Amino acid sequence: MDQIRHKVAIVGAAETDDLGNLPGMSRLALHAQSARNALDDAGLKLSDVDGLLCAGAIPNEVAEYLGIQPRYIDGTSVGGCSFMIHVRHAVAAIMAGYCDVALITHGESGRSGVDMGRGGSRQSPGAQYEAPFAIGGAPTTFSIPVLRHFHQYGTTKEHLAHIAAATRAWANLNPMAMMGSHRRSPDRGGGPITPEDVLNSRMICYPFNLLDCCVVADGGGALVLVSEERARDFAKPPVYVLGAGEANAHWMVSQMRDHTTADAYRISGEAAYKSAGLGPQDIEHCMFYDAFTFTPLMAAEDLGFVPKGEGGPFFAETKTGPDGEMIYKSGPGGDFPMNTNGGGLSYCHTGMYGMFAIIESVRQLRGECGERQVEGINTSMAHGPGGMFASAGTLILSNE
Amino acid sequence: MTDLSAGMTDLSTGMTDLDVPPHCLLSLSRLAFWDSVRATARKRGDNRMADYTGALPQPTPESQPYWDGLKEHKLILPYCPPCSAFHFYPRPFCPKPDCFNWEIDWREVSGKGKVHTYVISHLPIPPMQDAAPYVIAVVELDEGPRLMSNLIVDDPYDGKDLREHGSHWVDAPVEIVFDDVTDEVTLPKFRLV
Repeated sequence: MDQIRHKVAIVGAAETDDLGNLPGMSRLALHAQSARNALDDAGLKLSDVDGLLCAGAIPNEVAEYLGIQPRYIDGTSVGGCSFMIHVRHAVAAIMAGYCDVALITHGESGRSGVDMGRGGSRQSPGAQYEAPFAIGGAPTTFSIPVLRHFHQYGTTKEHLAHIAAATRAWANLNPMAMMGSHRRSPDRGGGPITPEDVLNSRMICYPFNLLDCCVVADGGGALVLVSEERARDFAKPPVYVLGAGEANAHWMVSQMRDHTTADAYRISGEAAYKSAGLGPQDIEHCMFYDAFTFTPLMAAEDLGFVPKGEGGPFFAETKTGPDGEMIYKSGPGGDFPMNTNGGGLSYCHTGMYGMFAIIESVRQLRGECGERQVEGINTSMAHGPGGMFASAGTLILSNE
Repeated sequence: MTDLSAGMTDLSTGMTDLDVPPHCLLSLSRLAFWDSVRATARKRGDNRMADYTGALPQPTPESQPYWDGLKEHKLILPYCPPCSAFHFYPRPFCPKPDCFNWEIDWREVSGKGKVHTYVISHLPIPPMQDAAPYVIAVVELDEGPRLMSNLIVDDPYDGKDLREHGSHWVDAPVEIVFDDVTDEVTLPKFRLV
């Protein structure tokens, strides 16, 4: 299992020029612009790309749109973690010689809906067994497991609210973050928030208030990967893939085997640890997909950072900083730095957020994060679910 | 009917003052399909279906016995004799990987169970657009399988402040209610016992 360790590196990582409300850009234009930015970041040309992986669009349409004819394609599209899985597949493809330069693209007009046709089968299991009960997208389905966790382990809304406040504190240090104080004034909901603010925000779907929910945005992101040998020649420091895992556990959230544990997280995480030869104690920075406040709590438990059921008190632990400020467990200055870009909760969430989690891991490991840089880290985990805890992808990345 | 154009206008405004978060509006757009189904129903004089605003299940050949059972106010599920176990949702085989038996029986179950987990939706999702907040629950039947449904209850919070509500309904005993939402479709819903 350890044969993938340190064989392939991420040498380019970037978002689209802007994130948020971009009604002037289609889904495919978002893919293309993020591809340009990631290739620029790597110092490569589009003509160097011979492997294409993407989700939310099929590789056929992205390849044609870009004008390339890749000799390796992967259209794995299983939700937000698709890009973690793409990295894992790109590692294998580069090691096998199927391609030399792998480009992974994401673009989603999640807010403006430009070129975002939706629908699907009316006879699918989801259409027959979940849709008739007035479910209304992710806030009503990603929330389904939460109260079972409350019931079994005593987790509370206050615990979850601390995750939102900690993540917002990171957003306030990221100029790109949609809800950060750089971009949004307090009268429009931006800037610092307290756990109390989360509990007082409008109820969307109990147990989630508005501030337990991610933002909704247009945007894209892309990654470029090459072999470890080739990565040594790039201007920016390479970020090596040490370990990777993927899994699928179910599809409809009502059919989840155990609503208090995400099987896909555990299986994916175990594979990532095994291939990296590392354990949770070796991970210094975490990017845990946060479509809602509960999502990263489940990750911290199922990936072994905290025993099952203890995630609530873990994240609700606070201390007082030198200037009397509140320091959250997962926030700036806390001892579990997580979602340092401001997360899906406060930075950007297009629909399939996983790409942005990987980009932040890369930037933190390169030391590019300015005010929000976590000092002295050598390892980062980027992890996400697809669907409602249905699938998962886990990456362990390092700058050495 | 869902006014999608209003929703799309809202998408371009600030997110914190929306009545409905945009991620819900995108899923509402899937319901636009039902506008055409209802228009067809009205033409053929089926006013009950024409007036129903929610998403309706459309059976496959494999799930038809399940939906036919509900129409007769019976909860009939696939049963695997070698495993002595019911399963949900209907498939033409036993979905236990070490069994994968294709000789399936259909048997009636009690319709009794308990709330396994739930949420309280405040979103105006059809057909509950005027009934929010409402409970979406996963019910665990006494026979084992779990299915999504609605818990029919007067006050979803049972008089408790949202901070005190906790996981109030988890493990509450429930029984099935057959909700004939149209002449053709009966949905399995649950009430407290």
